[in-house]
Amino acid sequence: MEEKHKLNPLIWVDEYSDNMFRFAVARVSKSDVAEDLVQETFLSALKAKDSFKGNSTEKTWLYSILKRKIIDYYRKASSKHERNFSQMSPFEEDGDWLGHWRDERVPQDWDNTNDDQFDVEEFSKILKECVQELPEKYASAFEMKTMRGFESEEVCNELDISTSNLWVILHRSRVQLRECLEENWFLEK
Amino acid sequence: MINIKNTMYKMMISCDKATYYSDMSQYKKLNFSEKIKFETHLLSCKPCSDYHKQNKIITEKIKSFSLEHSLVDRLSADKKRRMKREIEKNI
Repeated sequence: MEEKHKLNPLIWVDEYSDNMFRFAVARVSKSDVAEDLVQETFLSALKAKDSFKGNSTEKTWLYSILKRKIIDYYRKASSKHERNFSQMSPFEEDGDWLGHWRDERVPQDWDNTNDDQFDVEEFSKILKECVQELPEKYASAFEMKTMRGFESEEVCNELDISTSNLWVILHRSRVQLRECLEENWFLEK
Repeated sequence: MINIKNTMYKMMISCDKATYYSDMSQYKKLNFSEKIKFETHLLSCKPCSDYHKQNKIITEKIKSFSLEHSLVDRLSADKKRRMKREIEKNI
């Protein structure tokens, strides 16, 4: 018979915490949040240690708890932010022109986009600020998909959303980001 | 006979939808029908073709750098000590 796995909480921090932290940071983008999630995972695991049956390794078990914590974090964050997504859509939301650009929100000319003067540091700083203005779940979806090369399926699992939902989120995020970059970067220079 | 008016009508999409396709195309290839609707729309819509052009610029700029290097990739020793204490307390 296969040997049952045992828990050894005293080695958790040394053995797993850095990898769990990197796992969490890739998904929530904020290192302080990631730290808290790792710590909460250990504490929840301790509380639930009697329910550990030893069928999986303690590592697998800890990650399953961490993944649940990440999902819970997004659930909370998205319910908190939904109402705060104050920015009005740049598209008409009713009437004959439904879905068309509002006159005052059409994309402006970026004629002065000059590649020679492109300052990567400065651009990445402004991009980050623009991303931070998105609702948390949108920011994560955008970062995971655009900056970290996650597959759609992984992003959907992680954020607990459907594929069509993901495309709508990416669409809304990019519409807002484009405007933010236009205001703060492309027309500023 | 194919009803041309009807077919044309079905192919028409709003700017909201056209920009949705533009965004999608930054990550994957559009399928045939999406592509036709999208490109037909761009032919007659300056704001959306501007949007699409700018979208490509943004994607390219983001690809040219990575945010990874600015991320902290491990826990501080202090944080680890505190975690260990918490675990020992709760064991």
